[in-house]
Amino acid sequence: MEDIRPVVLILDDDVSIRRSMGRLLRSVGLEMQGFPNAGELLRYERPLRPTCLVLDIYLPDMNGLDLLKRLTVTDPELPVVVITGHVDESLRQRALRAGATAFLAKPYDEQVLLEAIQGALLRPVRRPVRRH
Amino acid sequence: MISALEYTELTDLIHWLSVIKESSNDMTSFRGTGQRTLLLADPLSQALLLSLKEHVVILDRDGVVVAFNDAWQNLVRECATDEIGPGANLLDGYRATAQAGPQTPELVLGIESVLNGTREEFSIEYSCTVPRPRCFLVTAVPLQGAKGAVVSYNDITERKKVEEESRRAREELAHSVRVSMMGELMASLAHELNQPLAAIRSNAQAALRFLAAPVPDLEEVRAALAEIVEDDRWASEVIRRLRMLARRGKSERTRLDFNEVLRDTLQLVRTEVIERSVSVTVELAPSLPPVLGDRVQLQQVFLNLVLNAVEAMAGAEGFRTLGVRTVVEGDAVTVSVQDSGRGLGDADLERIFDAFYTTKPEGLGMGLSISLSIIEAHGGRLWGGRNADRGMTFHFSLPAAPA
Repeated sequence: MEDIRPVVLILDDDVSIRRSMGRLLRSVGLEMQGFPNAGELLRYERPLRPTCLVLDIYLPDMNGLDLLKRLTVTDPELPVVVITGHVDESLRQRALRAGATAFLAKPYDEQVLLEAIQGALLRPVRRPVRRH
Repeated sequence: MISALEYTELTDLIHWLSVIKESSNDMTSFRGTGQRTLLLADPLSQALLLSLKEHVVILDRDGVVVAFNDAWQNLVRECATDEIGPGANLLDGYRATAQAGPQTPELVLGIESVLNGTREEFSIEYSCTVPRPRCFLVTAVPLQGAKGAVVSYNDITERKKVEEESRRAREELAHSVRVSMMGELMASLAHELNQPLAAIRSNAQAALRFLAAPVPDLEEVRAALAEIVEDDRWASEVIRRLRMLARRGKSERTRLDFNEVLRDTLQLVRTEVIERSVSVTVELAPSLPPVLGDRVQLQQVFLNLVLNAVEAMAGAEGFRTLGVRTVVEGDAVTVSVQDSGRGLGDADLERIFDAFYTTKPEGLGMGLSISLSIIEAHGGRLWGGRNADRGMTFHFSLPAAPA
């Protein structure tokens, strides 16, 4: 029997962030898969389960926004929640325009993060991004 | 005993006459009569001695005062509690002096070594506090042609004051440059701090949820708490590095492992380089000899070069690479910082180390000139040049610490 439980993918170069977020997700019964860089995520064969991606913009090997735009094309049904430690309004706008479902600042409020993830998991098909 | 009458025609020798007169009362305290013969045989030298503004005293091979000039006698009268006059042993006087400072033993040993021929010259900066704080450069050289020494005291109080003031001014300036670098890094340092804080918060919230479950998973709770302790340490490290930058105050030199200083400094700019999409390659020599230096100041120089390199690559097309290297060259450690940026023209290259010269629109122009004075104060060199392909490489080298 297939596993249809959702899994949350976390792409952040910080191991502490991946571990702690994973623990938070486990405490609400969600499974998690962590990736330290874009390369690893792109090589990963995603299982056929409801998935969403939590992405930190600041990655060592690739610009997070560029990755986001690429995923819009290659994986349009994968919702992406962007989290970042360095917040500015223009970055938020660019992330949302690039196709992010939500944009959160670190340190994030657990409630806000969990709601964003839940929202993302319930909306597996992303509408195409409209360009202004 | 030589008759003083032979020299009555030279009035400048009146002082000398009194010396001889006093000494003749106690022959036992004067050895080396041969020396005195030599001295008195040269009236011009004696006149010269008397007219010097420097405080000069001549000792025989045992340290006994044979002759001196007025200036020295006045100095002794001002500074010493005991009379040290002809026939007295200067070294004994120093050994017994009530105001013996930490330098006195060194002074005595130094003069002794000139007297017994183990050294050709000795000098020391010697402070005395009576009647007011003063500093003298005391130099002892052998007496030419005879056994003994000439000791001169040169008042360097003013010079020391000026040196101290200018050192303080340079340190203040260096501190200002460090603070402005902190300002540049503030955004990314805040980001640095947000990471461990976010991890701590997540772990704490997760632990609370696990505890609230019908069957609490204590293993998860324990692991969460252990990570919180680790992340708290990480946050403290970030703050420690920030504090180092902000440090103000007198320079402290310690033996440094430069590879370790560089790795620590690179942590400060970790977020900055990621945000600017700069890839960093680090090639550190496997074992570096220790370098004697002020950690904060040297970190500042390295940070200055790295921030300049990152700035040079802002807006550059193509690869943005920062290369950091340490090598051992002879008995010196050389650090190189290479960028793939715009590079500098010849005109800029010539003036880049000048104070107030900058190629940045909002730059102060002090960074490199302060870096240069820091490196030079450490006995090192700082230089830069264009790379063959693109960008610049700046190097600084420091001598290895003596064993």
